[in-house]
Amino acid sequence: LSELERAYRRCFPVIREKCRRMLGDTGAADDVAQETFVKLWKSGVVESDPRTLTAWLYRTSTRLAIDHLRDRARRSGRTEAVDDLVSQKPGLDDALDMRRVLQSLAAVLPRQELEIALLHRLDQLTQDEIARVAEVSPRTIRRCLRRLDERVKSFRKETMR
Amino acid sequence: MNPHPSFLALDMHALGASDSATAAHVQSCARCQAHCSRLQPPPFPEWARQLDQQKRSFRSWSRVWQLAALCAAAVVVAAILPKSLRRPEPGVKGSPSVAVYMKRGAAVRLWDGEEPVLPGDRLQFKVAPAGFSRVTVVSLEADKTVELYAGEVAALGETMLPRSWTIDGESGPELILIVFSSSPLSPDQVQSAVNDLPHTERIWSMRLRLVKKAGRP
Repeated sequence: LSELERAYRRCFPVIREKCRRMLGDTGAADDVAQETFVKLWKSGVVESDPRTLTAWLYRTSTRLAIDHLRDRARRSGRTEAVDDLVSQKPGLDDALDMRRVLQSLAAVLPRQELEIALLHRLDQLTQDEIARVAEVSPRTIRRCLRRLDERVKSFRKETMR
Repeated sequence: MNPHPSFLALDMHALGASDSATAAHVQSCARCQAHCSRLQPPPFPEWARQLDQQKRSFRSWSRVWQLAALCAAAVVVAAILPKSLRRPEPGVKGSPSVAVYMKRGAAVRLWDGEEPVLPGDRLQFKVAPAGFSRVTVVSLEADKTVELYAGEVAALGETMLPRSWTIDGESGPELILIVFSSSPLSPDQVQSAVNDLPHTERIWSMRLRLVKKAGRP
């Protein structure tokens, strides 16, 4: 196997699963996964130790997914996203429900808050893990998660009306 | 509370950097085993195959930039090496040092050790380990220490750490500890470095205090 193919076999499945958690099993997830792998290969990080490599993969794929989510939310409009959310029955799967909420809030959540939300609520990272991946202090993470709880609560009230 | 390791921990396990608790959990948990078993590579696609050629071209350019950056860094790091931190032991040239690069807006500059930082500034460290082969970066908070980065570095020359950190809007200074060592540090060794700021042949640590100025949200 070439160096490139070894890197692909090792890293791409991790990237793909991560993108599917954020975006669902969709073409968008495949696009973001592909973009992440291209950046990985060009960055040289693929030769790093697994801890550094994994943190880089999580950080980069999350930020690329956020670009996608915000772009999509801007194009579709928040109202439509909320209607879409209401039309689906949440609760069967908490992760799926949270993904829908975050996708609907993507246009209004600050980037950093959305990044921390995706890492915490979908990837289930601990606060220390998020600090390492997102390169922010634990204090910021706690603050963002508090704000996120408030936003999600008010969003759910809004969609219940 | 979620009884499972995070997906990050599971993916690190799959990539070969598992801790014993995660490894033991995966052994006995069908849900986590299912996640690991999903990490099967698909066929090698054409778009990935084409990257090989692109990387060769990228590497030839990056060598030119690396050479230029090394020349510039040598000047910068030599200029900020504090004499008080020179390693006293004979036979070792100089002592470890750290250059802090600060990105504010689009501008990147070397932190002078005194200028207050603003929320939103991004910091990146370039280290000159002077013979040590690992660096650990720790954030010091009132009630605990948080490891921000740990990894191998080239023992000689300078290495730009592959991470940057954003200054948050919380009040109070940012306290960062940078520890150089020759092997991975246990949590006790990190705590000891926090308390004692050792300057020995085995562990060398230095503390940065970045005063924060409220200014940007």
